[in-house]
Amino acid sequence: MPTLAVIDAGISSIQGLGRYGSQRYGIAPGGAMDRYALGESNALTGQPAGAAAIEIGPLPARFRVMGGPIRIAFAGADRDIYIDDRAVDRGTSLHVTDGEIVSVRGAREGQYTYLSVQGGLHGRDEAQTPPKDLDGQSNRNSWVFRNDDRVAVLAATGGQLERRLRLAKRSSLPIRLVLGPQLDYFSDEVVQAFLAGAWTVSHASNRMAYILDGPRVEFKKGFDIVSDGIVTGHIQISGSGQPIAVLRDRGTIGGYPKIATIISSDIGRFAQTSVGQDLRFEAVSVLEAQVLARDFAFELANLKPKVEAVNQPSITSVRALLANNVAGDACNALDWHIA
Amino acid sequence: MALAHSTYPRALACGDSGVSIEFGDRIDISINDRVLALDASLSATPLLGIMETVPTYRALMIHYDPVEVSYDRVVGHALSLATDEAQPKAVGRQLKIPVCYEAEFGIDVDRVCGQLGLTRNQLIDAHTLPEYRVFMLGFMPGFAYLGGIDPALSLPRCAKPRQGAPAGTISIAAGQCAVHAVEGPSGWHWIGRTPIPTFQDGAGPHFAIEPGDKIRFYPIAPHEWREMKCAGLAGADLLERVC
Repeated sequence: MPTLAVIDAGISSIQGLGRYGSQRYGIAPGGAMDRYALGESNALTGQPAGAAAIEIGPLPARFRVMGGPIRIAFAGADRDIYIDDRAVDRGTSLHVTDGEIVSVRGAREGQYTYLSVQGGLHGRDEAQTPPKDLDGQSNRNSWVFRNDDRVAVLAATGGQLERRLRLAKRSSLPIRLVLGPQLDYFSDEVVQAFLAGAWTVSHASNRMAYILDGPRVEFKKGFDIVSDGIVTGHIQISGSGQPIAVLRDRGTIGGYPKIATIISSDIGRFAQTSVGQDLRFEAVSVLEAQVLARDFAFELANLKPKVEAVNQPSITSVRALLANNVAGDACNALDWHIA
Repeated sequence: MALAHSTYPRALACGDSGVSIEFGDRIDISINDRVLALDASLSATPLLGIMETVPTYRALMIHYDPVEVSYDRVVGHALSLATDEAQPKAVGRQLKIPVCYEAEFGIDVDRVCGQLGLTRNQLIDAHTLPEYRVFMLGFMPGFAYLGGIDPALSLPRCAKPRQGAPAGTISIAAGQCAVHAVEGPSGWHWIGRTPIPTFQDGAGPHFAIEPGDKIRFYPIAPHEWREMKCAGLAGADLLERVC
């Protein structure tokens, strides 16, 4: 079985939809920061939308293909990607052979890129094997890569046809949220100022939480609440008045008041906000958010039909054939056409 | 939009896939009893689309899939169970947990004794006398928040959290006591350590302590700690269940 060997781990890990059921013991579900981009890379390799893939954070990462060939695809944050010295695109499936090095540079726009493998990842049963460090900081529901880790994958199928998908464009629409649950800790003016505010994601942000820079959020009646439950997307206001949006590797309980909650369909878009990039919020009702959640699920489920075969060079253009050297040694026999 | 009842229980929307059913705003056994009762009722009367529930001091967090079930349906179901007269009584187990209070095992024990004006034996007596109640697990995997501590052992949190509290650490702060399941940072005072692995790895995480359990601590000597630690590593079940 071919293997992907981790040369430079960067901030990469294996992520799918996360695993639910252990939050009562203090373990968050984890899972891909951007489920839509995960679905796109999976569609390109013929995987189910929520299948586990390699999530590559904003830092560069490198992998070596051992054995193979394998077929991979990328979606998510925009960045330069090379297979050996060959620049490749996101949004197209790629045939990678034994010994080739997949090199993913730092993210240019967005934060998380997904690398899916045709046939899926078979390295380790996620349900059976926890990650190596049990320091309580890293999420136990994902395999966080270290250099020299190896993931067994399936070999590419025989066909030469590659697939292409028009990846979703980055939208500059506001990130939508539902106000509350601790709305009573903030005055109406403060809530309006929070919604109208221009925010940016701070450098001190990761899979656990994004810290937001912007106006200070004042409390109406103190900031110490008796700890209660946390969901992905909760925006806590810390003691210093700074919003902290908790994400996939969040805690399960917390003691800061939560002014609002990012809706599930916008979590991925929020997670792809680059450090320093402008960010705005818009409040919606729970009912609206649930309609959007269903639309989002529908879009994800309908990615596969949008995948198309990559056009082969047209044989009516001999020049194109020659330029691509597709015809190989046969070119001599076609000389008269060119003349 | 969150329902704005002034009376409990009340439902607070947490985005489109979570709802917090609140029973109060303070740490109180009767409030936590109601949280655990609803947790048990929801487990006995499941609703399709509810993914999991997380009991905390004063509220039950319900995580659900908005594609499968609506907010209104989840809230209606939960509140009908929460206000039901015939609530099941939350039943916790009684557990006995050995603790070594030597400074080698609880690096803050002597400083804590100094701050509280107690001898080591007085502190051990005060800490092992009450029956504690597990309010919730969280913060870190398996980290158990216990209520019922002797007010004589009240100390504020440390000014700065420290890294590396070992697995098994027993800590106190802010009128609470905690059992640490894994190594990690902590802003509480580390007064001892249990050799019992309250978290076990393997096929699916296993946690020895559940919300609602009642716990008593008993002191052990360093050599007993080491023997039990070895036995625990060898797979022995060291947790004493009184009932």
